[in-house]
Amino acid sequence: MTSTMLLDVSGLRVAFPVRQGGHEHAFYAVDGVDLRVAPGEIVGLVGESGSGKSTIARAVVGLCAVESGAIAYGTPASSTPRVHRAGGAVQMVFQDPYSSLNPRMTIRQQLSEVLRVHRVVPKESILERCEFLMRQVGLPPQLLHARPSQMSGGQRQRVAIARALAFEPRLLVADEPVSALDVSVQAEIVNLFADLRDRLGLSIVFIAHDLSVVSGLCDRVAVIYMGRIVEQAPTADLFGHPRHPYTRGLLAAVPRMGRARAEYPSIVGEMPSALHTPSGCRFRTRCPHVQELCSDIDPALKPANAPLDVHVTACLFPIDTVEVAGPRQKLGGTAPQ
Amino acid sequence: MTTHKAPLLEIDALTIDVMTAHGPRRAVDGVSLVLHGGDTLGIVGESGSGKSLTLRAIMGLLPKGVIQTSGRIVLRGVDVATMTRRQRRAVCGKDIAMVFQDPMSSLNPVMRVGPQIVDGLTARRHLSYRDRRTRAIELMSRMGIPDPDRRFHAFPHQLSGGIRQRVMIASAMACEAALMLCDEPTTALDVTIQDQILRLLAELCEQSGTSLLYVTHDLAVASQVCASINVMYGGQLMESGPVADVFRSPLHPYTLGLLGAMPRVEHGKRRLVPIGGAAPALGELPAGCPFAPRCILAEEACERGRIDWRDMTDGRGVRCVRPLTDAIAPVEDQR
Repeated sequence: MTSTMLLDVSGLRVAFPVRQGGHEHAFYAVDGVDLRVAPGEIVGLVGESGSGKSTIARAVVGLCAVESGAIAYGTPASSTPRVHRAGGAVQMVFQDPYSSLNPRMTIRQQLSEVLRVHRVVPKESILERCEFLMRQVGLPPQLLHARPSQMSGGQRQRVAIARALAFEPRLLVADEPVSALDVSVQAEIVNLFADLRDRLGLSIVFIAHDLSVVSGLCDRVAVIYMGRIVEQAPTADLFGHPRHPYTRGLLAAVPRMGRARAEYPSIVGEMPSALHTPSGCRFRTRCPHVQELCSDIDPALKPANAPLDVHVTACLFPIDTVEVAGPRQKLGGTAPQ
Repeated sequence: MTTHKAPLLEIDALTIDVMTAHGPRRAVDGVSLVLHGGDTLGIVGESGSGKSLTLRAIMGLLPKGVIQTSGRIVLRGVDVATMTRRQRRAVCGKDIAMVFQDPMSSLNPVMRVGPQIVDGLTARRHLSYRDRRTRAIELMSRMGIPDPDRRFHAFPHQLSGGIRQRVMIASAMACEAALMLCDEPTTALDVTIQDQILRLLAELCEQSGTSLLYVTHDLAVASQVCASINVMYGGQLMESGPVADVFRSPLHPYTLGLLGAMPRVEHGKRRLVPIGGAAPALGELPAGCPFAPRCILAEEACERGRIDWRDMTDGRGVRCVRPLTDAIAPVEDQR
């Protein structure tokens, strides 16, 4: 199994020190996460802010120190991953293309710098490669002479993706890459990610707080809550038959067209501080189905139905399969089908 | 609805210019709206469409260098331009309340939140401080703020984003205004908290009959709190009408495009249909329809000159040379 995976994260824990009342505490932003990504697969990570989804991404590309656990890029496990050790095979795309590009350099300068410093191609073919990269992300090569300030938000995000592609990576880690964009432009970038996977066979870890974006793009989705994966399944399965009360609450909270409200109650309250992690199940303080046992037992991820089911849930009392995200009855409209 | 009465708010051909180094640039171009008591109206648009400036103009809160060049804003039959500063301030505190996107920058950071809500209780000036305080705590608990007695004494930075936004809404509710202006109040929040706040707003409007003018970039959010909707693009109103009708059968190609570009959970895995091109930059508006350069149905007439607003049946209206008719199947049913 491991050998076929492009990325294999196991038991990942990331700790940040906190000073409180003169004492040093460690709080775990990521607390025991296993994540696998197959070649050509798009995996979505969703969760509220502070759930640790971005920290997982940063740990995967080596932007933050890992306390324990292993991250393997299709090679034997290394406990201190670095980007260069992976040979540039893992690249990151950030949320805000305004701050991740250098405002004083032209696009050509930024792309060729990467190609030159990392010796991706011989010197004489750098320009040619720059033009190739631009075409790959759907930008006209003439824009190579522009600076970021002369481009729209969507074009800038394309440049950021082109720069990541310069390394010829096998895995892209995209942290909220479309959250800063307008709806009409957001769709283009989402489609671009799908195209890159189809054309280049890239694997993508796609982080978003917007479940609707994830639902349209990803093959598999992991729902993160307080540094843990609470549910993971193929997209249609997860959105159609969520088994964890948190997933179901998140789905119910997504605003939908039409005034009809989801019957399921929205999640109450807010995520507790990571310094006061609840005992047992971490979601129990907000769970509508909480029972006594939930404060004693910390549930592990378990297959939903069959023992080898890819749909896994960390809940003692998972919800029985119910159609939730299917087409909804419209008010006064025609019944579906 | 109460069409025979004077409307609560009437905006007539509002035009706003932004002063730049290269001279004035048009940001809002002839926007007209009518809002009656109890109405919930949404303004939807992408960034740069002029939706927030329209809202700010109502409150007289246009930033420096941004000028209302023409048009009228009429509140309960009185043109705000004819009001003295004191009159306008009284109206803005009493009749209109505003909720901003970022509660951190609109709450006073060095003042405890409770007293900020008490200050908002302008309609209850005759009460003692203790009574107003009780009222403020009541408002906070109605807003779903847990432990309001303790939170009353908290500073804004001690509260989470969701609670801060609730405090903002509580202080806006405190003046018992007839009209609440909301400028993307849930954009910075998680979906779960957004859902809590939207439910709260819808409930409040229903219970107290408060009118709502809600600005957002998210069509789905607008559809949850508003009964009717206005779609803005390039500083102009493109389409307006009841929410359900506009989304079921959009008349303007831009609205149709937005609906196709919007990812939706209920649709599952599928390719989105983006609108090609990018929104026009400030001052680069074409002479004709601002959407024409990106519109797949654009024809010569679209670029010739300003497109007139056309009133349609069922309280709908559109600014398009060739509005989409029902012959074109709406995006939603094409699955």
